[in-house]
Amino acid sequence: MARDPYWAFAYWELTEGGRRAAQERLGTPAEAVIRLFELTGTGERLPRTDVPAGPASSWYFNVSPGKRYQAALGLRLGNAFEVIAESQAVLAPPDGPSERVDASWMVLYDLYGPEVSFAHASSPGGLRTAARRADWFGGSEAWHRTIEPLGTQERRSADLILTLEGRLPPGLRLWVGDQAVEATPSGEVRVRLTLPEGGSLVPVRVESAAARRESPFESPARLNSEFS
Amino acid sequence: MQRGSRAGIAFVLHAHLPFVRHDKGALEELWLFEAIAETYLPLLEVLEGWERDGVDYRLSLSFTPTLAAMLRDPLLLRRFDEHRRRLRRLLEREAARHAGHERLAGLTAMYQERLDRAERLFEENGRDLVAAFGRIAEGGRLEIFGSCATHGLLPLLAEPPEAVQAQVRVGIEEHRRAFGRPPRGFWLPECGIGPGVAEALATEGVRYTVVEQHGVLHADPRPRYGVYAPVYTRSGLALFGRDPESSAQVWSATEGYPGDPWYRDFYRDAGFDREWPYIEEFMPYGVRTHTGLKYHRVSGPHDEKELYDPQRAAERAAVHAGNFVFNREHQVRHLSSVMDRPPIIVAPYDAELFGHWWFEGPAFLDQTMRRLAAHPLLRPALLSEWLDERPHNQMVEPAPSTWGYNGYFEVWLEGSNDWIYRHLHEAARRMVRMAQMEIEAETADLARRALAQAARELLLAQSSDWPFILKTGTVVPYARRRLHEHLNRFFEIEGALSSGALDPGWLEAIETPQIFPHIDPDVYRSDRTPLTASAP
Repeated sequence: MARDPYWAFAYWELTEGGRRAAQERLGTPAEAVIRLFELTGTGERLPRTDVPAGPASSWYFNVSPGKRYQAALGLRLGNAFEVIAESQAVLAPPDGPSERVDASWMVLYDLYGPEVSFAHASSPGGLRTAARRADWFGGSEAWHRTIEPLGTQERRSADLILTLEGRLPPGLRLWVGDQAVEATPSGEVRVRLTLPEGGSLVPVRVESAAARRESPFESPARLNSEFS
Repeated sequence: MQRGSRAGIAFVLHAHLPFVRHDKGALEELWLFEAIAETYLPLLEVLEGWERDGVDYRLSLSFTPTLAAMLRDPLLLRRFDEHRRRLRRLLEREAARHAGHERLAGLTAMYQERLDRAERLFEENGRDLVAAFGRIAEGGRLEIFGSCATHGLLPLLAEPPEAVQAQVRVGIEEHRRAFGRPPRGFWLPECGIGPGVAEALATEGVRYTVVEQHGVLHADPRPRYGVYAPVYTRSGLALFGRDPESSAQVWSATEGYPGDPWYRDFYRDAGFDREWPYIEEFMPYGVRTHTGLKYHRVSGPHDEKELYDPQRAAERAAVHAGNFVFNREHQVRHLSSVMDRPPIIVAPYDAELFGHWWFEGPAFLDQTMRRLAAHPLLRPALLSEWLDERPHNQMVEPAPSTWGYNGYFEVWLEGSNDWIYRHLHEAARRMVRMAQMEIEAETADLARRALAQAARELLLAQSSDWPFILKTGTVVPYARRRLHEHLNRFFEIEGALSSGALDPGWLEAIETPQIFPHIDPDVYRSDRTPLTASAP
């Protein structure tokens, strides 16, 4: 558990069964320790601190802001480390503003009214999508929630590259133009469009077995300097 | 200037008390009675005044489900009646005691008149404050936020994730039952955000919440407008960051308004100042407690306190309201020079600060709001309408944070209280397993009732109030007792369920349907549709 940018808390319970099983795998008696690993962006696990697991059952580890960590209870013998149990990964909170300043923008139109909205794109100058009513797909409020509107944009010459992302409830299918967008097994969809500047329409529709509705996205007439 | 181009000032008040209700009564039930008399009724009076006078105000107010349940609990309301009767008798005795002392007698009369007004307001609103605030919210200028089921500090409960999901789902469901609709705004207990929290809220249909300033300022990537515009998380939840300047002016013990020498002193109270034989019969638990009758002002940095002067205090509240608005105006002028859109300043506070801790707080809020509503550059704002007007916002990953001391989790995770989390996490893991068990048809009703009670015990054990009390050292034995009682009962129920030895009589004796009467243990199943999805 991350306590603040510099400290993380771990607790554990060393059971005789867990120790014995690890010892059998290791083949020889060894010291039980809690080992703190730093998880790097490239997927490495770097051991940082070992604390004897016997005398205590919890510990505050010194950590570095903005980094991810995981603690493991295990037996240590020389360079070998036989894991008994592992914690979830935790993120030490950053202690200052992010170095990244490249902004992504999102528009959530209609989310705050009775209308239900669908994947929205970021909108320099008014990229729009029509809203859909909840009852199009059987009146399920779940529709409202399970589509997570999300969009990012970047500018490339006069075109707008638009990424639509969202999550579709089971049984629904998304079409952009004449292209069907395949959802992942968990229902996520992602499609990247290049739109010319100047008010062209991109037909977007969602189909279910029971209904078919179509709603165009309108690309912007001009790129707004605020977001360029 | 058009309303839409004025800078927004969003007051967000968070009303919460832990669920404290004991068949035989408990000293800690006084928290509720004090908060009703000193904060919730005065706030209601201020709101009714704005409505009556057509003030174009905006106020966000959150009620936690535990507080809403207590405000409608018949047993607690009866005890509140007794509390008021006791106070009235004490006031009569105080009036006799102060006869001949003009200023003290005047203060006693002030308290009598306040009690009369509060009682009238309470009765006029059908003794139901939840409904009273709900009715005002229908007008659209007051927005009521939802919150977690029992004020769980979500980032510390995220093992397993279903524990977070249940705190949010039950909170939303209880809000819907209390106010007739699911909330769009959601108060995160202690403004606590961390990995997975925004997603949990967005999944349940929440649109926006408030976080501590560095939850936004330290977000990744860096927010272009700091805390003066909302940001979205990837899941679509909008976050508003707390404004540090307006917070410090009201919160801070040293630079804040409530420390003004003319304001009423909180700590000098007749309950502690009177001789014991005189006060004893008004102390229902045999120990000295606050009575709410306080005759002194903050005065100076010395122990000797001078008598309270309501007239001077009211003047100071007006001055401070003017100062608050003046400072916001300057802040906004500066912000507008560096921003290409109108800024919004979000000022969240504990509701109980206004009236209970800071006696003149409701008057300050009243005057501040009236000035803002008529201001050429500023306007009171709701977070919902701000997003409606400006749906176009930056997308970031928020930084884990709270609004507690030093801005992270050290209040609720340190030597005095860190021992609770292994038990809370273990109980939650077991709750998730139990909720997924197949239940035999012939014992299904009984088993579901037992699961529901186990869920109640777990949720009540998860209140952030308990680790907070353990840390601050106020009523430590009570907090320990509550933690142990809820966890013990949880494990007893789990044992009875797993051994098949569930006794209907025993279950009935331990059931507490006064809180979460309709709780569905499926809130601990991640494979089930959210409760609110099928709600009318």
